[in-house]
Amino acid sequence: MKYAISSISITNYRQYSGTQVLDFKIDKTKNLSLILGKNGAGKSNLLNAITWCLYGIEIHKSKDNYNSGGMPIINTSALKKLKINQSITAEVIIHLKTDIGPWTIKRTLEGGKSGLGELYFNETSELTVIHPVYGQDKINTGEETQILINNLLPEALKNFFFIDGEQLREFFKVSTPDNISKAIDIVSQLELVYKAADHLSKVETNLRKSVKNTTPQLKSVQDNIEKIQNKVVDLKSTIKQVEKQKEKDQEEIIRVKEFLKTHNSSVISTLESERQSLEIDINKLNDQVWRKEYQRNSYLVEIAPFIYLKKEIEQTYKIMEEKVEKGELPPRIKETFIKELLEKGRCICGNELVGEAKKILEDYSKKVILSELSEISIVGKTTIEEIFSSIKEFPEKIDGLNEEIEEFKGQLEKKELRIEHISNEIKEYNVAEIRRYEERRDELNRLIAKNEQVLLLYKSDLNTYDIKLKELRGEEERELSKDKKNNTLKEKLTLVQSSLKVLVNTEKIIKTKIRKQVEKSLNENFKTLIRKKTAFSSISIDDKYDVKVHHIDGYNVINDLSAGEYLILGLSFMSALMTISGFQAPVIIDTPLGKIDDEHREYITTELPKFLTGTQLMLLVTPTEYDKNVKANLDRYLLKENFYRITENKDQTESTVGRYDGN
Amino acid sequence: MATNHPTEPRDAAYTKDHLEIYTDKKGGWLHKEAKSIFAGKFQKDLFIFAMAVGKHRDKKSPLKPPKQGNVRVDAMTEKQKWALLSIEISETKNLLCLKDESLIYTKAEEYAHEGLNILISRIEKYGNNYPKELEVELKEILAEKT
Repeated sequence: MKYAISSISITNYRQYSGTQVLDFKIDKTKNLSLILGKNGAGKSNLLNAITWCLYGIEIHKSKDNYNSGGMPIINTSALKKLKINQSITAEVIIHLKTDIGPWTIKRTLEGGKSGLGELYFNETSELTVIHPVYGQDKINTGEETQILINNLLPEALKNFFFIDGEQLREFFKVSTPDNISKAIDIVSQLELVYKAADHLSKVETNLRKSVKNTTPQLKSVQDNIEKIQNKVVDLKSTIKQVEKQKEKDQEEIIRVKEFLKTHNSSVISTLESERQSLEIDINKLNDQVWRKEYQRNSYLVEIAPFIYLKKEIEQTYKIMEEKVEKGELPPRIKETFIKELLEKGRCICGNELVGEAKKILEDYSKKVILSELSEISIVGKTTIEEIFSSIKEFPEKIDGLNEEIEEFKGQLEKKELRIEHISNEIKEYNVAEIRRYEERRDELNRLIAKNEQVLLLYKSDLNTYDIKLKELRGEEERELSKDKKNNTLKEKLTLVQSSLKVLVNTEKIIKTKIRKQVEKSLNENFKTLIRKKTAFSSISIDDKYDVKVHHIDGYNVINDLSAGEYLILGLSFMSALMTISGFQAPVIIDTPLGKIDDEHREYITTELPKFLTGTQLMLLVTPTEYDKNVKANLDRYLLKENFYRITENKDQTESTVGRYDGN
Repeated sequence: MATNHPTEPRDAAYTKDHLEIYTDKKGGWLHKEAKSIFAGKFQKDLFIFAMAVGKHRDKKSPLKPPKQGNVRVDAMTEKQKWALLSIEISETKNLLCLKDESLIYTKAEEYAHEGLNILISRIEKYGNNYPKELEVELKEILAEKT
């Protein structure tokens, strides 16, 4: 179902005291709404108000932050004015225009001052949804109400529509393949497959327990299956934890690198920049070593059989030569070719075919009656000659390949040594904070490497368990077959196990398909939005969810993009996910143009509203972002009724929102 | 230069216990991400390689059923086919064996079977150094006087 926001009403929510109302006119071509506000005036809290109303979660606050105190959701000035035993409610109401009629969504949170003068807040907020059912407005409250909103746009997808500009710019800068995989997983909507697999696993366990005619052998096999299945569950959960930790460490290391690279000390920032470019070189070199070794191995596999069989091949050739000498195998000259020469009366060298030469050729043509066997042998003789020349060039070719590998390895060693020196220099720098960061970087690198090893080990254990389970299931089937009474049970178990296999394959197929769709859509979006259209050849997402931006010269430049290019990459990715998810909701972006150079600002503001034609686009911008050029570009898509400004009070503690005429 | 081999079989076979190795799925030697020297190669390449090892060590044994006839003969290069055919030609010292190539392929399967067993133990022994060991061995063979 497609929806757009027609109005937002905010009461006593964060810095918004009293009630603030924003009405939006919905227009297909002039699809832009603008909310202008200084940093800290309350732009992000406006976005928070929307996600809080819809999902009970503020997009800018992580759950940890949310539970660890800080400013309350209810406006603090209003709280201060409360008398003993008085209560107050923070409220956000959103009116939506949908295909089936208007919806109203209201979320409230009550708080107050107790008899003892202490402030209190209700633990949970109240959600009310009014929506049309058969032409009548239906009012829903209570636990199930959230499902209605998730039908409009599932909570898991909210980050693809309600976007924090800064996070979007950072998305590909700090994202690991795991993040990309998770985002793609969300739009794949595999919950049904996961739930079915979970259900079938439970059915399998219950079926096993229901066996009536058990024998000691069958019992032992079934006990072992259960034990291993439990181990698999535990191991999978451990793997998830380790992966999560690895992901956290990877994100932290990116922050550490960014800190060093942007540090005020030019020595440190230069060293870190050099190290980062060395790391890119090392990755490239490792890739080159891998490619060369692959090429060498491939060559060895091709040539080895001929060398192993050299003696046999030589003997075969000798036999063939003898046959040729005896005239049993004439050289490979086609009868038609000789006839043609005789007809023309001229040799291929240009001389006329007369006298003795003509006679020899005429005799020869009579001999050229090729049997099927000799035809094969002639090809064989030529092929063997090719094999001989392949063998002959082996020592030189293999030495050449090895030299190239050694050359790359030598370069690799030098660069790794330089990285070691850089690390030592940073560790000896006279600022304690820098030394601490460098030590942390080292530690994180060690932890990541260790966890990678641990994961490899666990995954190999999983593989072993899988093989063992397969064997045990075979044994179970054999044991069950011994008693006819167990036939039905055996059939049911087989059905459940085959269904589980189908589900595993289905998951793989869906994931691959969605990944490829995202990749295609990402490429299309990026090509539309990027200014330097010819500089990038393509973007790829491989089966390990590694994203590469391919420069026209063949390099992967994902680590070398400008802030504007990162934003466009992020936008293109989010937009691809939006399209594939199939949900049609408004797109709201907070601070979309921060840290972006003028040229990209110009380009994004020209292209983005056009790119999202038909979708309600709401931008929350600072006055710095909204410069003359941006204004001129966005005006084309902006209805004056949809332009708002946030104004702060003198103390900058309270904000109000009102229509703005742009002057 | 290609030609028809009217009597060659459609497939060559290996035994079921070698199926895991021949598979190009994860865990098999031929999978493109495998650490094996055969990563990214095809079944026919592994078959010819194993056959050559078997012949070089003069080890062969008949295949026990069930056979897995998965090695496509028409996918082999002419050079590979002639390496295979040369085993029988050199053993019989005659070209007449080419009249029925399918018999030669049966013998090649026997060499490939034992060759693969030798290969398994060599790869287990040398691990990642196997390509280097192979290279040394090939150079030694070439240095031998024939």
